[in-house]
Amino acid sequence: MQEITITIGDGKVDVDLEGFQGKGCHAIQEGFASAFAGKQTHVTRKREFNAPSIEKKKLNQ
Amino acid sequence: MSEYAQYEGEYNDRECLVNALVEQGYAKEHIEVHETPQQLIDFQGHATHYLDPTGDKAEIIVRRRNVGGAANDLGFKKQENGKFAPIISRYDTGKHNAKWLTGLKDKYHEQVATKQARRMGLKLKSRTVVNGKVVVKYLKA
Repeated sequence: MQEITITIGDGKVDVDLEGFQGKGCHAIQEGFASAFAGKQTHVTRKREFNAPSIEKKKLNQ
Repeated sequence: MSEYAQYEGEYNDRECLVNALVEQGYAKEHIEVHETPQQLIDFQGHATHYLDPTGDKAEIIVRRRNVGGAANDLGFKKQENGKFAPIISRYDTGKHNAKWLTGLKDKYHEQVATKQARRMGLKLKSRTVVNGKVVVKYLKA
């Protein structure tokens, strides 16, 4: 089971796909972005699984 | 005082907009939904021509008798981009103020989220209110 969190308030929306992975992620992201279709909408995928975090980069330096 | 003002269109799903209006306090049977835009009426019963010289029109209308007091019709007009834009008389901005419009937008967003989640086969895990914001969690198998 993978989790999607949607936060709604102050006229804005945040769709959080953190922890979501696989080819279904893009479809979910596109689906919500298309459904909301507004500049007040913010779709995030906070964790990039193939990219090292900034903190990791600093540690390696 | 009853001059109309049109706001930015942000609603592209008619069904979700109507449901959001219901959640904002208007009875569903008091919300007119038309395929073609219909004339808006002011508090004196006159057709208005503030935004359009041929008459101010909208596809979604709450008639003045259901808005309350000496109100004018509340309308939502479909724009060329497919989005519905609210048409609110300046007289009624006390009721339909920025706070009300933000509340309508939030209700609309929740309706859209629910509809989209159902469309994608997501399962509702929880719905909570945190610091005044609605937090909805869905699961995908």
